[in-house]
Amino acid sequence: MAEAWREELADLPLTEVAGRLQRREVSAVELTEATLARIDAIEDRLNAFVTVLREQALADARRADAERAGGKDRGPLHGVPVSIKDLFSTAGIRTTASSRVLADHVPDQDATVVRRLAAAGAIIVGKTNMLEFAYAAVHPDFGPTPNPWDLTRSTSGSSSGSAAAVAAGMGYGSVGSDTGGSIRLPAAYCGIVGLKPTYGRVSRHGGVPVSWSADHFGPLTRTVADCAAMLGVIAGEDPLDSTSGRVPVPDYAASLAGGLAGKRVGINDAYLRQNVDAEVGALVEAAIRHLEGLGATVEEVRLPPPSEAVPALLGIITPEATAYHLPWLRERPGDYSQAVRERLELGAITPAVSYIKAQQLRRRITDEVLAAMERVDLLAMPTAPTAATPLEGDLVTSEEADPELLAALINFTGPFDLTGLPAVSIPCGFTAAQLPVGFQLVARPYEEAALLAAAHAYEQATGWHRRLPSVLAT
Amino acid sequence: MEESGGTAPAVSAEQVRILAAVAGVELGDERATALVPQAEPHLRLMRAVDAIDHRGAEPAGEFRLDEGRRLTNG
Repeated sequence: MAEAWREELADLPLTEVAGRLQRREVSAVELTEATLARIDAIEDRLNAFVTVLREQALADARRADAERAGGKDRGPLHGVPVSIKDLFSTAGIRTTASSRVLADHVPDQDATVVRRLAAAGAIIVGKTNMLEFAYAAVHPDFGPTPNPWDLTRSTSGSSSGSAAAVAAGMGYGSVGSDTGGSIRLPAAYCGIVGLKPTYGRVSRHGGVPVSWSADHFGPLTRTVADCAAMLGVIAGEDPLDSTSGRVPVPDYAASLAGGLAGKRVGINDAYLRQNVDAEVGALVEAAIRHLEGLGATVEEVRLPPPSEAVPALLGIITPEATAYHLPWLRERPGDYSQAVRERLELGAITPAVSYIKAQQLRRRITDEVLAAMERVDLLAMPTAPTAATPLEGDLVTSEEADPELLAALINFTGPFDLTGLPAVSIPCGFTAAQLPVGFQLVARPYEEAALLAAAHAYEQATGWHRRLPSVLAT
Repeated sequence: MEESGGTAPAVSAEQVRILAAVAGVELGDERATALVPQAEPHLRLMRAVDAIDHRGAEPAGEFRLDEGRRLTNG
């Protein structure tokens, strides 16, 4: 196989290579070799992986090819190389959550997400770098993941390595986690698609938690169709997760043609024009006008403001995270990064009354958002307040917890971790500095099919997803 | 904790140290002092939550007995 062809192969969307696999135009081994070659070529600049599973991936690829040759087809991920964030338990494989605390942790069972990917025949090429314990800061032992569009910039997080890997062709998709925006923010910063499904849509079993009641797992991919393919594999009820929803999983790929015609899209001033960079705001407003051009109607809706929703989310996340970490925080505080240790200590001083009040506010805010969504099918807004910020001085590389900076970063994403509604970030253009910008669509609970159909219609009409990051040009 | 500068709660290193100790986290004087600049904005955010009157809302935390499941590992 010529090197140039490998480069091209690594840049194709998941659904495209899935089609080529089914037509026997390419093998799983060839795809895996192309992915590993891309990792070899640029990983030293991106630091996107904690562990690359080279031998296991090639063995799994050979097995996938043998199965297909024998007539067995496990579906759209059969033989497709993907990655997973290093907080998903993998039996016999180190699972670090990018922290010194778990540096030598080797689980004895797989997370449900991992089991479902394996059952679908996906080839897991590696476990991706992330912010320590998905808690908004890099541990110096693991280091940051620079942005593939500009290596001096942040990928945000916490699914930093997953987003960078997908953007740079190191796997055709990844599974990350989102408690305040950790799938959608890095997806927006890296110019890819990131979906936070409904709370309960994807099992949390076997994932290292930040906050039991606000953690969501979901896909990061290059296209919306890829996202639909991955969600179809990892979604569904799981008896090992007490909050798993008993809701059937639709055929997301088949629903993509649903489009935007006749859809009602809600906007709100606090979620569109406040606390957002002017360049990002202009691109998002242009995207919303584009939705109208595709047949949607746009109207103002009343929503509880981020200034209520984000403190409520932090009032829940902060003590829940500390409750999980308490034994380590007492016994090994020096093994955390400074910023994560501070956040965990803040959880220890959060009054129980504030936690309960935050849970009351969560109920009220969720009811108000659901009431707004009786009038509209979708909400539209920015994903992040800015495009990718410089790594130096960024929240994720800071040694301080900085609660207000964290609250500002999750201004548009956090409210939907609080309420559990599904939300997707889609590329909507580039700044003058050629940094990607994402905008966010939100749907009613368990309406990921309609959400992805709308996102797909916009994506196909605009084509922002077709650009490749600058790290591939050097 | 005393109010200062509108809704911003002023908190001392000693108060931070004691609050953490109640949760079983021993900070020591130096660490408690270092945490104060983070504790103040954090507690200000919590105060914003506390200030909203939502007495009519049940907390969102869930406790179910209807499904016959016994789960301890999430």
